[in-house]
Parts: sequence; C-alpha cells; structure tokens
Amino acid sequence: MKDKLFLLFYAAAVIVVTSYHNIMFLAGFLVVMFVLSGAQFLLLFRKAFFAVVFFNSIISVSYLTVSLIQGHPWAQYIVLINLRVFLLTFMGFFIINRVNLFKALSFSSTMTFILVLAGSQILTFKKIYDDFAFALKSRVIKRAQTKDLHNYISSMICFFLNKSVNNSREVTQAMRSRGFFGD
Amino acid sequence: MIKLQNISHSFTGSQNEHIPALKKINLEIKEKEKVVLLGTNGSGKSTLLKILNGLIYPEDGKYFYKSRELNRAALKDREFNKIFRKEVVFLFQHPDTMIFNPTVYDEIAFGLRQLKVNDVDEKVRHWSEKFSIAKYLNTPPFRLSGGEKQKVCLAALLCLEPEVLLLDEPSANLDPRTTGWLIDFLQELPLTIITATHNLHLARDLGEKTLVLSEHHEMFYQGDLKAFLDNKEKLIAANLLHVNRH
Repeated sequence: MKDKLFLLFYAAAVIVVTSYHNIMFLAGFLVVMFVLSGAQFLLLFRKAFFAVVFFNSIISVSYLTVSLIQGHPWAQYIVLINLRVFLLTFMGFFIINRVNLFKALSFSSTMTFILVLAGSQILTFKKIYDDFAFALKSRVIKRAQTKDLHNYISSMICFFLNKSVNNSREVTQAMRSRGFFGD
Repeated sequence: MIKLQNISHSFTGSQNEHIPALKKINLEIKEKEKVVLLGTNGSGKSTLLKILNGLIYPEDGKYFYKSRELNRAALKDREFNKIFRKEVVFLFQHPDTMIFNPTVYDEIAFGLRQLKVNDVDEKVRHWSEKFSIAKYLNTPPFRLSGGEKQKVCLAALLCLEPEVLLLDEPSANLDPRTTGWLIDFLQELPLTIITATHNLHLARDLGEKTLVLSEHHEMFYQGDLKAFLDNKEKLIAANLLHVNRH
C-alpha cells in the first residue's frame, strides 16, 4: 500500500509542478524535496544535476541567444524551465529510490507487463553499457585520443540503436507468439 | 603471480540494498597456469575477472599482482598502469563491447599504436593471418559474425604479447567449430589464462586447475580440475550438475 501511495503522491506532484508557473512555489517545493530526501540529499542532487545539465544548458543557451537577438525578456523563462526540469528529475530519482514499482503497479496486469518489459531492457542495456566502459578502460594503455573516443562513442551509439531495433522486433514477435495481440 | 587475500565485494541494488558478489575469496595463481573459473550464473565469476583486471576495486581484502598490491593508487601510477594494461588483458563475454575502431586493421593496431610499437603493420598482419581474418582487415569489425569478432578481439589483445589472459565465457557466442578451434588455440598459448565458464564440457580442456564459486559467492573448491569434474557429489553440491529424475 505504501508503494501505491508514494506513486500516487508522485503523479499528483508531477501534475502540480507542470501546471503551476510560480517560481517561488517551485523553489519552495524543491526545498521541501531536499529536506525529505534526508541523508540521500547529496546523492540525489548529484544524480539529478548530471542528468539535466547537458540538455538544459543547450535549451537555456539557445533561448537566451534568440531572446537577446529579438530583444525579449528571458530571465524568468530560463529560471522557470530549469527549476521545473530539475525539480521533476529530483522527484523522479527520489521516488525511484523509495518505491517498489512492481508493488505500486500491481493493480494493473498491463502496467506490470509493460514495467517488466521496460525493466528487463534497462537492466540489459545497463549491463552492456557498463561492459563498454570496462572494455575501454581495460584496453586503453595510455590516455585515449579524441579520435579514439569519437570512434568509441559512435560505435556504442550504433550498437545500442541496432540492439534496440532488434530487441523491439524480438519482443514484438515473442508477444505475438504468446497471443498478446490477439491476431 | 596473482594473489588474492580475503577479497569481498558487493553491489548496490535499485532499492539501495547490498547485493553480495564475492565473500572472502583467497586464491593464488602461478605463472603460465591455466585456471578454469567455475560457478553458476550470478556466483561472481565476472566480478572476480573484473577485479583481476583492475576494473573494479574490492570493498575488502587485498589483490597482489607480481607482489605489488593492486589498488586505485597503484593504477593511478601511469607507468605501472601502462605495464599492467599491457600484461593483463581481458576478453569480454560480448565482443561487441570491445570493438570501436573503423576497420579490423585499426582494431588490432589500437593497443600497438598506444605502445608506440615500431612494426605495427607487421604485427597486425601476423596476428590477422594467425586468426584467419586477414581478408577482413579493411572491413568494419561490426559487420563480422560473432565468432569473427571474437577472433578480432583476441588478435587485438594477444598482439600486445600479454602475460595474463582473462576470458569471460569465451564460447558463449561461438558455434561448435569455432569453439573447438578456440580451445585448441588456448591450450597452446604459453600464458597464464583464467577462463570463466559454466560449461562443464568445455572446462575439462581449458586448464589443469579450477576455482569454483558457490551460489553464496564463496570459494567452494580450488584445486585439480579433473578431480573436481570427476567428483559427482561436489558438482551437485556446487549446483553445476543436475541429476534428472528420469
């Protein structure tokens, strides 16, 4: 029951955070989340920061550039979007750390099924991603050159794209084979 | 050559729980010894290989490579790191994770170029011929079959003339013919080889000594490989053998 309540709280909080545009309110909400996270504050903060910093920097710099060229105000929008994205990400990590999603979604067999599929894909990909990182570390005798890192990243992206397509095809075929689509 | 003292390691699960991977492992491996690391899925074989390759550091215990303690500080020493990475090489279970160069030639030459070896071209050609992959030298490695990728990875590792070869389930992606070729090849290699597998049929041909990890991540047995494989009771106790009801 605890897991279902946490998930319900999270869903409600996401709706509130995405529909309310007051910066002070969002900042206050974030402070409350910081306090609730307790001893895990630093860990969650770091995870959320690194998860959003790349994407948000691109959006913020692009918006700032266009606003400066067009002479529009920019500060409020940039603060709002960054605050909201960071708060949602922090909440996501906070809830994942506390909720057993399998228990929380146990009321729906379809949701549980989708969760199992997504979870198994994430675990498989995570294990392979870790192996990619370990393999590079193992093979690099001296510091890798920029060219090598470009090759490594592009080869990893290609591998995961191909694997995603192949896995999706296989999962779909397996589901069809087991009568999931009813055809 | 390799000595582990009371090595323990665990991982953190999604709910922040501690998942043990290895518990108080003690072992010693001599130069040019061929060791087979046995254990069921999840017993800690891959974790042990990663510790031996200095990719992860144990939470507890000590690892000595050629009498020098191998830890984070030791591998931060660039000169030692260079020697260790050249001497101890690791063939991962999925060769795809090791391949990232545009051609098979570049893949094999990668380590040699890092070491600034003079006769890179000569060595690449020698090893590619030894593995019968010379015809693919200008081909992107990701276009090759699983067995061919495995050969490219092995060539890329062995051209460095290492002293220790770590193999994680090397036959997992191979057809029977390539598996047979690999076993013959490994038997003739004058190196210290540690092979992780749960395939008992192959194990017999992969070494003379075995380390067996239990499902509880402890050292269940270490010693003569053939004696262990011939001991049905021990195999069943290690969950490596199942007796059919019929």
